[in-house]
Formats: sequence, structure tokens, C-alpha cells
Amino acid sequence: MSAAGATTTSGARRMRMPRLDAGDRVRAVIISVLLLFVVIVFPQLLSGYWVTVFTSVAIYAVVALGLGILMGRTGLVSLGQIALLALAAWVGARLFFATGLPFPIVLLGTGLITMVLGTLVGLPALRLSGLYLALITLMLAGAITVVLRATNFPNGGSGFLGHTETDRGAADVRRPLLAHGDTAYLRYTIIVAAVLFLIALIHVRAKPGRAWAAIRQSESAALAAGVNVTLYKMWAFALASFLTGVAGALLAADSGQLFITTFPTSDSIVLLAVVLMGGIYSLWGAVVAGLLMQFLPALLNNWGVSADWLTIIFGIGVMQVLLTAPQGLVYQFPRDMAKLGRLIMGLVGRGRQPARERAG
Amino acid sequence: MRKHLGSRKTRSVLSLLILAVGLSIVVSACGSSNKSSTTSGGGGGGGGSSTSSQAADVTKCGTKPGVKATGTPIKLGAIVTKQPGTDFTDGATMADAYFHCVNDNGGINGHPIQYKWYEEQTNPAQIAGFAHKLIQTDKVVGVVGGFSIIECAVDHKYWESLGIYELDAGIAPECWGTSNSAPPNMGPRYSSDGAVQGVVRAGAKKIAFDQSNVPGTGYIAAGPASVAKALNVPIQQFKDNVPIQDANSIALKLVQAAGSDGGVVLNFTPPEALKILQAAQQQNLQDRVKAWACSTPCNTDFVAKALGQQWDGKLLVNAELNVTDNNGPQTRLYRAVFDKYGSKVSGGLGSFSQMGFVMAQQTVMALESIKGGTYNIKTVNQAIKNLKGFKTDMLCKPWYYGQAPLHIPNNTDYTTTPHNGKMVIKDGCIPINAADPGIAQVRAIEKKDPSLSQPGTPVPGA
Repeated sequence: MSAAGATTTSGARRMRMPRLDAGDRVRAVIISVLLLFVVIVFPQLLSGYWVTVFTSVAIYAVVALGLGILMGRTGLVSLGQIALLALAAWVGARLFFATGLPFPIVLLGTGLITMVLGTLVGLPALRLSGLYLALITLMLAGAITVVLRATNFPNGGSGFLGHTETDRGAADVRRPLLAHGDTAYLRYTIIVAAVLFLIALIHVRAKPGRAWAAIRQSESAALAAGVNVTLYKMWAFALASFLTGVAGALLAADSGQLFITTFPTSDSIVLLAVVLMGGIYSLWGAVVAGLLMQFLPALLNNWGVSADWLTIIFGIGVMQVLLTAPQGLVYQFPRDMAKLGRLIMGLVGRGRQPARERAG
Repeated sequence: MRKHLGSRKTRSVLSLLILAVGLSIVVSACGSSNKSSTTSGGGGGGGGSSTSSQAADVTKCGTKPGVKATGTPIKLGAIVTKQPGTDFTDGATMADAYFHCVNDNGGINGHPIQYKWYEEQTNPAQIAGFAHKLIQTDKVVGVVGGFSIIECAVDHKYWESLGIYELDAGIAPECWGTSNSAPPNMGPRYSSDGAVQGVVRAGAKKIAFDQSNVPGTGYIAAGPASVAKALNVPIQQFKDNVPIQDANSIALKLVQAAGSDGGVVLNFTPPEALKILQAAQQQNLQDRVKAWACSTPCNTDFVAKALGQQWDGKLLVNAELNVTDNNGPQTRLYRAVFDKYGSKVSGGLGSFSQMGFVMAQQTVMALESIKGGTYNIKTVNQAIKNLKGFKTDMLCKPWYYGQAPLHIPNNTDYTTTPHNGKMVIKDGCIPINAADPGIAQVRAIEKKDPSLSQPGTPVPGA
């Protein structure tokens, strides 16, 4: 990717909508049809258990998308995304309990508050990179976890923390009136996730995306080419945090109740692993990452296989990706299937050749 | 089209990072064992023979000895925590062992019990999903034998909406404080109350109470505070993050807070409690206070062995269930069932498998009380709710369910102490102090309906 596109310093600084070519329009139609199927038909086919699983898939796909923006697009390694998700869930739950605002407004508010917090967390990224940045974000994640462990999540209590100790059952975080049931909430989550993916796509296809690509390839070269490295790094953190913030609010309303045990620091590593496996350069990779992180454990559980095996599976998967397919499953799988198809066709063709010769 | 994952430097950093952290996760996953879980039994491994001094007849599990049940199955289910460091599956595995024993000896009126449980990783969405799955997909008619960190908190409203009366061991306050849950154990709050009573009986004039800094500590702390106040003993409360990094300073802090005529009470998982106790031992602090006490998790031979004989008689452990080598008929049957059917009970004889056994017996007792042979959600849960006067030598007093806003049927228990590498009974059945409001409430319920805690129909195998 050339940095040229990101070098313009004169003229309008606003982000223009990218123009769609014919191929893009075809893809947009296909994706729209697929989305309609996933929103309208798919939830009807699922049992209650799989409805909850796919709600989690949609939420974690958005979290993976945030990490993909940071790492795949900008080259910033963050190991604190799950802690940021926990923070977002806290903010979301607090807003839901403290205000009677409509659900979408609370989603937006949570996204914006988390964006500010996440951008502050991202400040060290201006001077750090690679392993040091990863360690800093991991330490911050640990710190957030320690604080949340002590303060607990809001559950309808009073005061700033909004937590009350009770043995009679705490209040649940509310859901939107339109989507109170599990199936309706899955649809709602998918629609919100689709909107967030669209926001990410617009960024990637426009000037920020080009600037991020330049920064990822070489920060010095990007700087020399006139890219405002500080601005675009912070922009990446802000966007990733906003996406994670909205996901956190969705998660709070999905569970109804929040526990610190839902957000182990080690999950940040798992998230990084699944994002790498899914495909860090592709938005579809985030969807695959969401499936790997939430659907695969559920599937294993359904088959009676211990979730501990996932650690090993993900470990092997990451090694495989790093060694053979840096672009992840989202590129590798179709490519390998095409290879397999060609191989089969070749074998079938070779099998027919002698017969044709005999006929000749 | 990009062909590489950032620069070579980034890739190598990522590889190293993921390899290192991945290895650490694998190590922690592989290190997951009952020894590091909350109240695991310290007995032999699964499938090992029990230390039974008197054999029991496993055909006593059912009403038709030696006759396999072949009717339509009665489906039951549970949700159990299993994750690295916390494995509560022994309860469900032992309940399953008992159900197999019942099925081999006539079943329930000829119907075998089909038991299924899901293992969760303290994820509320996952737990809620499993609850739906048990009802909608697996078509279970009862939820029994579960043991989870947060399941009660997540699912209690769902069970209430369906008329399910859950039989579950647990940790979340909702396991005791809600209408549709009744556990065989008493949980961390009331067990800590009992531990406070233990050090006061030992002569402590001041208490230092320490527990892990995890969700629910505020709720737990209120119990010991109210009991200490009722006993006119000042109490100082502490919370420490786990895993404990500096056990030496914690031990010193607690001993200084308690003073020479005080007592230290701990509410931690066995490995964390051990860190503090062993640190106290290394600094010769164990005799600097009147008494040391622990809530139930320490009631395992694993702790007794690890501490050694220096702690014999010095550590008082509040034990919600009787020791596993007592010779009551139910405990003998438990050991016999463990020997024949319990090969999958990885933690061996201990509190977890005892709880599973007790819950399974309660379930069988409820199912056998159903007249007419209809086993659906309504009849099964009505029978579970009607359970009362369930007497077993594993619990201090008859257990009951009943219609009530809260359930703490196990509110009188034992005190154990280490002796030659084993936990032995020090004090018999002592009621938990009614200064704790929850206990006061259940005592009022028991007073109003004495039949609840009066011994009723003998349980199978008695």
C-alpha cells in the first residue's frame, strides 16, 4: 500500500465517503442479502442456547474488529481490549441504571465515554511500539481488572458505583423495548454490529485507512510523507475504543448481570490469537474471530469436549497462521478450497483421459 | 495484496509474545486440578478405593436390588463450574454415580434417571444459554446436583419463571437468598460465621477476619461482623487480592491485628489459605494468637497434610459436612458407591462429592414420593419443594426445602481440625449464630413449621 494517498496536507481534512466501483456494488448487494438472511431468517432457526451463543459471537466480532483496526491496520499491538470491554460494560451498565435514556443513546454514550478512556490508555502508544506497547496495555488491563474486582459492576445500587450487596437477586441491566426477548435481542445486536462494521469500513476505505497503512508499513516513511502520525494513531485508538465501548454496552444488556469473572485478563491474549487466526487485515476476519472465540467453545461444550482444549487449538492455530498464512483463515480457507477443487478436477480429468483415448 | 504481518520485527515480537503467554495459559490449564479448587476433597484419586472400615451394600441405592431400570428415562440436568483453577465437577460426577447405582437397582419405579450437566466458565451469557438448553433442548424435568460460582445469580429468575426448584451447591448469595434454590452447603458467609464462633469458643477476645478480594466480599463480611458483635468481640476485617503475592506480610498483619488473646479467621480457597498459614508457620506466628480458623474450604486432608503436625489442634475449620471416614450408614453407602461407580470423581472422597451424593439422594427421595408415575417439570419440582426431614449422617440436622423466600437448611455444622495429616471432628454439631439476619430468618421459618427439620422418611440406604 502506497502512502501517497495519505500525504495530502492541503485541502479539506474531512473524511470523504469512498467511491464504489462495480465490484463494490455487487459485493454490497451480496452482503445486504446475507445480512437480511442473518437478521430475519437465521435467528428463527436457532434454539434458545444457540441464540445466546450467536449474540455473543456478534458482540465479540465487534471487539475483534476494534483490535483488527489497531493491529492489522495500524500495527499497534494491544493486549488490553478485554479489560477495555469490561470498562465499557461497567460504563454501559451504569448509564442503563442511572438514566432512562433510550437504548441507542446509551449505546452511543457508552461508545463515546469508552472512546475517551481508551484514547487516554492509548497515549503511551505515541512513544512506544511492539513488545513495550503490548506490555503496557497488558499491565493497564491488569490494573483495570483489579479496580473492577474491588468496585464490582453496577447492579441497580445507589451511589457512584451503583453496586449493592444482596442475596435476593440484583436488578438486571435493561434491554431495548423492541428487543426484550433473546431472539429479538440477537437481531438487534446483529444490526448494531453491522452498523459498526460499516463505520469501520468507511474509515478503512478513506483517508484514515490509507494513513494507518502507511504508519504500519513504516512510521518514519509515513512521517516523511507528511502523514500526521500522532493524529492517526490516536484516531485508531479512538475508533477501536468506540467499537469496544458499544460492544460492552451490548454485552451488559445481553447478560443482564456482570461479573469480573467474565473478563479474565487472559482473554485479551485469546482475543489476539483469534484475531490473528481469523485474519487481521480483513473485516471478515473479525467475524471469523468472533466465531472462534464464542461459537467454537460452545460447539466443543455441546460435544462434551473440555474448553481447556481450546488453548491448545488456538496455540496451534496461531502458529499455523504466523508460519503459513499471515492473512488468516479468511484468506486461507477460500484459497485452499480452490486449490482442492482444482486438484479434484485435475484428478477427474486425468481419469477421463484414457477413456477418451480409447474412444479415439 | 499484503503478504506479511507487519514488519519482520513485529512478527517476531508477536510470535514470542503469543508463545510465552500461550505457554503460561497452557501451564495454568494443565495445572487445573481439584487440589487448587475451593473445597476439594483431599482423598485418593478417582477410582481409587475408599478407606471404608465397614463395607456398605450398593444394592440399597434402589428399591429393586439387582434389577436394571428399563422404562422411559427421567431427565435431570445441572450446570457446573469447570475452568482452570476451579473445578466443581466432582459434585455432579458423584451425583451421576449415585444415579447409576439407583438405575442398576430398580430405578425410580422402573424408570432410569438420565443425568446431564454442562460445564461453564463463569460467563453469564454461557450459563444462561445452558439453562435454556437444559429445558428447551434436553427437556430435563429437574435441575439438581449443580455446583457453580455464579449460576444461582444468573439463572434464579429463569427457574422461578418456570417453576423449577433447584437443588444446587453454590457460592453466589442467591443460592441461599432466593425462593427457588436450596443447597446442601451453607456457603462462604455462614461458614465464616461458624469459623468466627470457633475462635471465640477457643477463647479469642478479638478477631482479625481476612478474605479474598472477589465479588461478594461485602455480603460475606456482614455475617462475621454481626456474629462478632453479638458475641461482644471486636472484629477487624481485611481483604486481600488473590493469588496472594506476599503471604508473610499478610500473616504478620493478621496476627498483629488479632493480638495475643485474639483469633485469625480466613475465608480463602485452600491454596491461598495455605500460603498464609504456612507463612505464619515460617515466622513462628502460629502460637502468637489464641486460635486460627478457616471457613469450609480448608476442610480437606490436602490442607492437613500440607500443614503438617505443627498445626494439629491449632487450626479450627468450620465444616458444613461430616468427615468422609465416619461410619454412619449414608457415609458408608457414599464410599461404596464411590468405589463401584465413582471412577470419574477425580477429587476422590471429599466435600464436593459428598454434596453431590447428598443432592442425588434428595432427588431420589423426591422422585420416589411422586404418585401416579408422571414425571414432568410440575410433578418433579413440586416433589423437590416438598422435601423435608431429610436425615443423613453427612449433615448435622435434617434438611428441608419448603416454600420460603430464602433457604439455608444447613445451618448447624461441625468444626474439624488437622490431626496426623487428616481432618478430624473437633466439635460436634453447633448451630450458626442467629445474630446473622439470614440465619434468624430461617430459624423463624423452622420454628413456625417444626416438621421441616424433624427427621422424616428414612433415606435410601439407611
